[in-house]
Amino acid sequence: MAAAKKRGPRKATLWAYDVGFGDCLLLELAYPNATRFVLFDFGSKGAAKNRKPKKRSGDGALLKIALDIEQRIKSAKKGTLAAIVATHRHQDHISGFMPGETGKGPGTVIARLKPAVVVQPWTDTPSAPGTWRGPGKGLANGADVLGITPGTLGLVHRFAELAEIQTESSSQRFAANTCAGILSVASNNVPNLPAVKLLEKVVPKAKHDYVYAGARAKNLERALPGVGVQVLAPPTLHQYADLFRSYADSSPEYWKLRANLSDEGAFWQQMTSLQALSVSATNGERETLFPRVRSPRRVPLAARWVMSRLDRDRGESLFELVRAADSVLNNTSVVLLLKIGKTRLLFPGDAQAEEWEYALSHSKNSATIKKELAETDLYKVGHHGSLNATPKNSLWGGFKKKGGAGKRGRLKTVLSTAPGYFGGKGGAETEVPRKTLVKELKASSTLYSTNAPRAAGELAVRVDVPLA
Amino acid sequence: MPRSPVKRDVPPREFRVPIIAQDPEIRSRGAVLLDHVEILNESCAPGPRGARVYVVDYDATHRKLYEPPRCPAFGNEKALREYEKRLGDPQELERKPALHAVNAYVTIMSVLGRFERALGRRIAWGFGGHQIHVAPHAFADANAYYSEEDHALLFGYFPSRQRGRGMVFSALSHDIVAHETTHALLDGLRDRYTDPSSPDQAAFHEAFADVAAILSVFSMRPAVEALLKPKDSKPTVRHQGFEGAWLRGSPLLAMAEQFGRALDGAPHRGALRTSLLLEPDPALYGDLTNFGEPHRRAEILVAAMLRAFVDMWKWALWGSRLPPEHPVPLDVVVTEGCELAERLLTMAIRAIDYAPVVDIQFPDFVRALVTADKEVFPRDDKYDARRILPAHFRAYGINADGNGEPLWEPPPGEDLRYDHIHPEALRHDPNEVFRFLWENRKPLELDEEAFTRVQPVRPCVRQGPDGFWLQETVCEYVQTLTLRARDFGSIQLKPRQPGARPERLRRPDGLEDDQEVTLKGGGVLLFDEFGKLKYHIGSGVRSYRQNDRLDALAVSGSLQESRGRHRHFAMLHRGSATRWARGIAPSEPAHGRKKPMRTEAW
Repeated sequence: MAAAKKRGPRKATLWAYDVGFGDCLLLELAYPNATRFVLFDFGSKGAAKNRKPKKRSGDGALLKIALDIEQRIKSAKKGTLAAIVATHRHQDHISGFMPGETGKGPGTVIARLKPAVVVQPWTDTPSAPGTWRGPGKGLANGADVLGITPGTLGLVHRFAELAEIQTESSSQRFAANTCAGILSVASNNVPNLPAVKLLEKVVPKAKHDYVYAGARAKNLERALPGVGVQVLAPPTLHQYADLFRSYADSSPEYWKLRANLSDEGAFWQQMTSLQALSVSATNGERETLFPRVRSPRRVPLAARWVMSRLDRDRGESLFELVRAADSVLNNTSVVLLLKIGKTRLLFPGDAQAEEWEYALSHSKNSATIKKELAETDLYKVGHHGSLNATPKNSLWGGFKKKGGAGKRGRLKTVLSTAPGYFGGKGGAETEVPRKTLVKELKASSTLYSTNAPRAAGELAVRVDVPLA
Repeated sequence: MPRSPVKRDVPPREFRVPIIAQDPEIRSRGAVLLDHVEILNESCAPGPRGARVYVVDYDATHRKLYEPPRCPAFGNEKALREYEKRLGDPQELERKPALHAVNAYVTIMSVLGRFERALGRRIAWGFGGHQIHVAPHAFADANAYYSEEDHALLFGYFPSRQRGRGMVFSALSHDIVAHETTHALLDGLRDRYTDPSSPDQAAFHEAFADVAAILSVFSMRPAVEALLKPKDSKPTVRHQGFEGAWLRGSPLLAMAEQFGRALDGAPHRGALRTSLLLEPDPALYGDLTNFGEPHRRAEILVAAMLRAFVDMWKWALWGSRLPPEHPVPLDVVVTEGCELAERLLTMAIRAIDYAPVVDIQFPDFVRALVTADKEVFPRDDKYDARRILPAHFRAYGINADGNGEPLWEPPPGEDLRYDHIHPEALRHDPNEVFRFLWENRKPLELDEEAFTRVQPVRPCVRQGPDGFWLQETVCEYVQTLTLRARDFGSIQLKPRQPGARPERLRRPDGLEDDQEVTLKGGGVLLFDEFGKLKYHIGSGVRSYRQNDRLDALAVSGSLQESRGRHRHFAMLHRGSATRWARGIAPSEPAHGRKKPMRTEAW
């Protein structure tokens, strides 16, 4: 421990860039002879109140931020980009890695910083077979209960693309706000392939850490001397399937039940094929269900109301599904706990309640994880402050350092978000960030928000993290 | 010379019409297995469009409206035979949407007729209109649901995951159509049952729809006989192994076989739900972690009902009269099964009149079921229903009333005032019913401060146990009391047990002082033919149940009721595969969440 402290960083600063709705966090670790930076995610869906997604690449604002990151690293004492952590594949987390059509995008700027290591979830392992259940061993057979096999993720991406295509050609049929909602969420889930490719190629294969709960991020540990790295999530399907072992053993109908109700892989396969059918039907590329049966010459007046209702209903159904697809990807988020001496920094990406439930209740070392998390000094608020990404009791309730303004060593929280972008329609308690959460963050921690006023020209909020 | 009487054709009140007995994959000698049901004789417009059902065959995926078919002339024997031949022909059925439209119309009308017969009155749809829209090919999706907002029953279609099986049409599954129709009818009878409430309430809608769908198949005797026929062709059935592979292997007591197989993709997989296979365990009802999702929770109630059904069936066949080793001819088994299913379905439907109007829980339904049965069938020696039913519910942890006969208590007769109440007005006038309530607010334990509304007053005619026809009146009222969170501590609730300490209304975590929460209560009043109150069933806005309800709403994230209800069943029926979306879906009533998960949300 003492040795680790000796060779560890002397100072830590977190720069939370204002990317609108998205994440871009640059951790600066000052060592005695050098400064090492870690970039946690770099992506955006656009600024607050601008509900239309911005261009996916070459976006001016992101390029400006990339140049600022470059400037910050270069101007630091022997500054290097030690690692990129791309927590998951959502647009608001990786669109900043787009190289741009002419090679002048923000991703190109990041690439020329020559990062030493890239950390991604196991689900992003290139060329993994579609049915791969992740590293390690566990139940040999069984359903894709988490929906995170590479095959399912591919289906989710495909579904999002098809949903976009259909919505673009159905603006007359779906309600306007439904169309906007679908396009906004679906665009977050399209593959962002150039960014994925850049992350794959920006470091040699051996310098990638494709991590899962309990795995060691060896490259990252080497790149950050004196910093302990604990991977809390995502679980592999072997790990998750263990949860169901006792029930599977005792119930003859177990697999049937899961196959019918909870196999996310089968579900998304079904949904994607149906969506493909819908798209081809909308575009007139296929025959109708009963091609030989004609339509009436005149649509009966009595039927018109319900026909338009049905059209709108399709839109709402599609919106529900693209949101479900969105959650599948969120739950592949890498959750990292960095330990510098006694200081704990928690970066959970967009992990939702399901991933936290695994880490805090079902993983083999959940008791130890809880103990470690209790000492957290800095918490990057999960999923932009949504209602179920900071489990109220099991995670937030366990943080020992939260408390009133006068508390010594008070917990610091960092919120990267843009209000008004998601949720909260019709008074529903789904707005992001969730008001009740923000109120609690303000009351019991020192909150740094990318949405707070800053000095002109400042692109990021500075958070100093005292090291103990 | 005496004049001969003029011969006049009196149109029959009902027609006997062919219907798909289960789904197009259940065949008899290569043809789709059909049976016959009785439906009301009405003059239909193209659609078919009758007084209560309007089939609009619009496919929103392909954006195509199919030519609305005319109903075949069901009174014409030749036309009926022709229709039956076409409906039974699998190739014809695959190509002709008109057959789907007419079959859906007939199935819905038969379920509606079954409910109306059991209750002795017409039943309104829950959305306020008279004709429910039915879209038999509404969209390409493995889903079917009742949409209150669209005044519609919507049935999807999808390519089967089984090789070479083609398209699966949910509108051709008797179970699915009956299930969705039951949702619509139950919404008409108890529109508050789709409100966010306890996990039991959402599950009850599902369970009741499953029970009605499964038992209604038994109204088709030839179909039951065909589906139960043992493979070894022995025409007798023995007590030993009665509910074994023979009964469990038959599609009769399972839900939506073709749909389940097609979704699953494996050729030997079974129905969408086979609740009968759920083994009894008193811990199940309290297990909200594994049995909190509405369909899963519903299986507890369905399993208890079906196991009780099988036990009563055995009792009717062997009881104390025949030794268990005595074989019983299959036709006797079928006859008894059909008769029993008829009685059990009648009990279940009539039980809705004896069920609370808000916040139903499974034990309430057991009491309603047994009370309704005792009203109609005071003698119970043939099926021993009132012993067997509660015992099976207890076996799953649903304990309605200790070990006794769970019945609703009659009202405190001597304390009730009928001064200035007109029995005739009580049969139709909500104001008169409210006057009765107000005059008797103390004995009936109504809250004076709450807003009270008497909902429809429903006169009905039922056959009494002595065979005479009785006129009864069913009235419902709902009470609401809106409070700010800061007022919670000052509200005292009635104790759970007489003599116990009263509870305070507990304030759920995370409520801000100014946040408003509405407490709901209410009840059913059943008046006899003389205008005297027979039963008062329900719970008030200051009942101890309010704490349980608020806890459940907090868990499900439904304390604020700004959510749309119209896609309630659409999302529910999508299944738990989209469960991760529920945390952010504004219209989701979200009963399905595991308890520990929802308490973690902000």
